[in-house]
Amino acid sequence: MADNQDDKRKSGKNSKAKDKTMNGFQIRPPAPAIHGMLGEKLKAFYAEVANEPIPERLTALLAKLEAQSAKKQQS
Amino acid sequence: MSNSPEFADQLIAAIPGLRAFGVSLTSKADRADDLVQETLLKAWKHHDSFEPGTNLKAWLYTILRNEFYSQIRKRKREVEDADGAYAGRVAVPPAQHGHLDLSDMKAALAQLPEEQREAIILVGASGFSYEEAAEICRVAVGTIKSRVSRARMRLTQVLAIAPDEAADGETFDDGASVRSAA
Repeated sequence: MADNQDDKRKSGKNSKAKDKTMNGFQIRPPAPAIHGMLGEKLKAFYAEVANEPIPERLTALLAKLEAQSAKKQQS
Repeated sequence: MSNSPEFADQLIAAIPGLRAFGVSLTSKADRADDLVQETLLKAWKHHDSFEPGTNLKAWLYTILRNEFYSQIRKRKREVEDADGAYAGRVAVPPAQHGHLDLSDMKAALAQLPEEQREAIILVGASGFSYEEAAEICRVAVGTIKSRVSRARMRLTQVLAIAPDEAADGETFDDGASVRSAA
């Protein structure tokens, strides 16, 4: 009984440790948000830039890279 | 391995966030776009070094950040001049509750040391966890936490936000009343 509980605790511990080592960028712990007014202002500032249309030179660059890569694949 | 159109689509999807991160770091849209452009070129070129299954967004932000610091090293003098001129123009906004122009945030961010600026943006706006931000900045998680906390205090001061409203689990004398009001 006591052993059993001990095992449970151990495996609980292990799986937690595993999650941590596996996480790399994969497993996301709860967001450690910056709450409140400052958090909202930061997000609003960020979203304002993110919502701007993507500059043409950037989409053109990717189109060019893609075309080059497609060409390479053909030859 | 050749780059697929899917990879190009993933890069395009990442551009808005990368631009916002770039503007946060540099406070200049054209410099931010230069950074994003370099990031896209490097990501395309080094796609093979990206480990499938890991976080592409974090990988891209890491590239952009590296590019930012290498550009700073390259044109250190130029950057210092620009920052000096900028800081001279930036006036700290008066205390004003409930309203805040977004350009005030840009100016306030520009007053932070770079390490604090990137930390609070990654965690507070880009949606990364402390752990991810620590990997991107190549420092310990505790270091990121303390940078975020210092940045938060400084921004709260500069923007004249009532500290209670910006508090993140910290207790203030009248914390209880603020919490129940929220």
